[in-house]
Amino acid sequence: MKKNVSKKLAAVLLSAAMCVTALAGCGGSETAASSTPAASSSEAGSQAASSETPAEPVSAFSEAPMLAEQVSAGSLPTVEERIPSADDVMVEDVASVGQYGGSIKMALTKAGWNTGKPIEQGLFRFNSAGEVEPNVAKGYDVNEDATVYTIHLREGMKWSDGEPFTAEDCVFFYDHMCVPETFGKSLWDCFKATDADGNESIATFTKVDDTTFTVSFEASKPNFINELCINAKWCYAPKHYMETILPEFIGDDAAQKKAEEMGFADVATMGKETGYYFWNVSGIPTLNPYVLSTEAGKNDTNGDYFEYVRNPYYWKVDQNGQQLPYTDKIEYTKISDVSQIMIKTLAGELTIADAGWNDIETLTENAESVGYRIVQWPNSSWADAASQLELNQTAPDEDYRALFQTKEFRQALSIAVDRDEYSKLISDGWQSGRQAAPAEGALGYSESWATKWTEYDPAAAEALLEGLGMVKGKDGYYDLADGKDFVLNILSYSDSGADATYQVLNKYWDAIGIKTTYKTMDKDTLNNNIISNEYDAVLSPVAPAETVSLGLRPDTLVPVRNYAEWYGEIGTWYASGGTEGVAPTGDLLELCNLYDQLKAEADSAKRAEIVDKMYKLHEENIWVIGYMESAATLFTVDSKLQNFPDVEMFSDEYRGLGIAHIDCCWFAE
Amino acid sequence: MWKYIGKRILMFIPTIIIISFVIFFIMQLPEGDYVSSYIARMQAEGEVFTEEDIASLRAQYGLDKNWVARYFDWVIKIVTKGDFGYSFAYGRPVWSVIMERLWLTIAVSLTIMVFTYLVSIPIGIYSALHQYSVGDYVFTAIGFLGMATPNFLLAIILMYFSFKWTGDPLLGLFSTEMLQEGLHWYNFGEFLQRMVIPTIVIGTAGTCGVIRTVRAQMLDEQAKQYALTARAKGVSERTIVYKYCLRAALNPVASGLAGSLSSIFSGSTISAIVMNLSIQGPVLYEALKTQDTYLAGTILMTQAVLVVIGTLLSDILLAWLDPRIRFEKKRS
Repeated sequence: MKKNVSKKLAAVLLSAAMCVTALAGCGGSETAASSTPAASSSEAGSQAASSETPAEPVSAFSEAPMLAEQVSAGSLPTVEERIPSADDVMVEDVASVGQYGGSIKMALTKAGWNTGKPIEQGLFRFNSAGEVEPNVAKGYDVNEDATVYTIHLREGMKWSDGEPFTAEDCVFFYDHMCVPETFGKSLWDCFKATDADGNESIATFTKVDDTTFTVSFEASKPNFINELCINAKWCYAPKHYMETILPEFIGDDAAQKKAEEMGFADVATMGKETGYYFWNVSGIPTLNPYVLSTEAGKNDTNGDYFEYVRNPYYWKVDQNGQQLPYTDKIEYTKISDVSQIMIKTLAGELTIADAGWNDIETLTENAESVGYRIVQWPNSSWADAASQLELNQTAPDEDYRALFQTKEFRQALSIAVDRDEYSKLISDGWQSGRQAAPAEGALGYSESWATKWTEYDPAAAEALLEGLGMVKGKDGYYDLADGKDFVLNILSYSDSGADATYQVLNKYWDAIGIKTTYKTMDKDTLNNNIISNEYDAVLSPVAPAETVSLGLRPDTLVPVRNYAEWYGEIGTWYASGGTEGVAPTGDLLELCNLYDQLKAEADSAKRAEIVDKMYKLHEENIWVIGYMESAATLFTVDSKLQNFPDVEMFSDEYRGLGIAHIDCCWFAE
Repeated sequence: MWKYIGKRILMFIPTIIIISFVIFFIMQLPEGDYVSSYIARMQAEGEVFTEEDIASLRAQYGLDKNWVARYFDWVIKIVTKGDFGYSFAYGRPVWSVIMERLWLTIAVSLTIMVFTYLVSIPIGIYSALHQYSVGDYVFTAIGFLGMATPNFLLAIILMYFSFKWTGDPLLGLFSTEMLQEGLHWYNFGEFLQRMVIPTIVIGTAGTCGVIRTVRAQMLDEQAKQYALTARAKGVSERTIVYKYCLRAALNPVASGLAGSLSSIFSGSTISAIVMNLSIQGPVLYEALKTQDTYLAGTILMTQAVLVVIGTLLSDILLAWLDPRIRFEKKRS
């Protein structure tokens, strides 16, 4: 089972890597917009579009019994009137054609992105091969210098309240929500382009007709569609609804009144909740397969129970013309502690549930009797999070900082650990030892990197420490060159898993004469320590090293802002344009410069080159020390639920559970 | 008496002002604020925040001002508009969040309180009347066990057995069906069934204290002169125990009510989390953890007010219950 996972992971990541370059490259080969968008779309777009169109076009459509009832009662238009035109309706080629009915049951402690990602419908989406494919939009064209993108929408598509969805909704989202920042987000990077002189400009959205709009940049923006998928994701909003609540249209006083009516503190909160986390607010039209209920007792995402019911105007059908989604509802029950998920799973109360490796035995034992299967998805982590040690490159103490910045010190801490023994102790042999590096097959992966500094050699580790001028004191522990006691103070947060890993790692560090202390704190408190730069080292970081690609999502691996533990104040320095924080030197400075170049570079081959250089710097320096590979993400899934994929990549870029396309899942008898 | 009550009520004002200030001061002591915890949570779900986003969030929640300024804003709004502020986490007025769970919380807490007294007072009397009997020892042992076992552990044990025997761990006060359909007469039985574990778990913890108090008091009273005199005069043992001794023995129980009032409003947090009870305790816990200042502040304030009121009520109750206290007051 495990072998399969890593093979699939390899395939997924390789194609993800290829896609980045392919997409970036397609700009040059296209000319201006043409009248047959699907055929002339970019490489990735047209590929996906062709796979979406089955041999026999779907001509007859059917719908769920609960909707058919409403149609015959006259309270709902027919299915043909609700979905896009037959040429434009999105056909999901599902693995097995399903039947209607049933509810997907899940549990959560607090609604946030977790309720949104599984049903989110981006303008474009990543498929499981890591390519961008059409979704809400049916395709796009791009001009030669990648400055004008023409995006094509589906004819006849409707919001969940039956109002037409048109290009105006996309232009409105950008012009009246993104740019004026009505939902509390500064304009995403995907809408900014930097020209050769370093001048930044923002995109312009223009409506061409009801199903077409253009996005134009003043400078070349080769990676726009990819970045759009990651930053803005859906890139549309129900204009007809937003115009009734936004202050720009109804005035400040009326908006304040509206906010209070809806129970929000102020206009800003209303803007954020309705504009950004809209799926958690009842009554907002969406394009999602499921829409938050409007019934009292079922519509409050802060309540003990709430449900999302099928969108009668959903714009996807299966290859037989059955309108999706198959299941009637998604039901969420509130729990007060995540451990209760396990209890509910064993009681058979959940359809899809998160699970942990520490429960694997109990889960396996009860799988058959309860009736669920255990699904493992690989993820984009560079190493098991609890086995990642990050030394603060800007540690508050100057001596410590200098020490942490030496490769030798990091190497000593790395080779001091017997990874075979360690991984057996920690994971019962489920995971194996490795360095923190891109997952096998991923962009930037190399075996030499994954095994760099992993050879267990305590004697060499001590030699390295002595080479740094450290001296073993009377207590058997190494002191700094000037005789000052050296103690590596390691922090972590509660439930990070580091309680267990530290116990073992400490023995190895102790054996080479490195004295460590360990303290866990609340995650928020740790985050505060990180923001105020009051820490030396973190085991199981809040922002562990992970990404599908450094070029797409660099936050945990490039000091872009105050975020990941290893780069500390350098992130602040970068984000503030060099006015605050700690200025980097050497390879760290090089990494920041490369990222600057990447942002400005239009040429795809050069982009790939820059990304490659950034990976090389990481490999060279091992800023994040990893001791064990990352475990697959576990779910338990009701055995009766069909079409839930066995293996997908679990990552934020792919919207977590979203890539499982739960609108295509159905219950067998 | 009325003058005394009036004076006590006037004393509320400075007490509550001081309490509110202390609450606010302590709540801002931990580093960070709601925004930092909010960001930590959203980051864990993959969202990216820029420095400007964070700054605008702080400004939106008014967290860019210092805590003294925020405290006075809060207090002035309470006094002038009766507005206790907004809960950051819920994005709603604090009182609407509190009210949502208020009735259920009161129902649960009152049930538990009634259970505690119904079980412990008779046992206390029995133990006192049958001192050192087998029954006395058994009840004492059970009572101590109940007190010594952490509530949440007892909850886990009972939930385990429930799961083992019925296949349902009885998590929460409502089943999913009840949450979907609402509480009706036809499923009220199931609700009562679901109340059993919380009642036993939280209730037993309180019984021991009351049993020991009642027992000790009863033993004291039994040996007092008036009981002896009554007995010598041939008053029936029943009358002596229930009309005279019990009344005196309940004094400490009545004064203990002061604390109960605030625990009715928000008590048994840990057990409620373990058993997934949707009552006030977990809301307070979450609000403190995420530094949802106004929500936590308002709940704590309300608790403090209830303690103050409870103390007054128990004083009045004592005066009513015990003529000795009443008459002393009059004389002075």
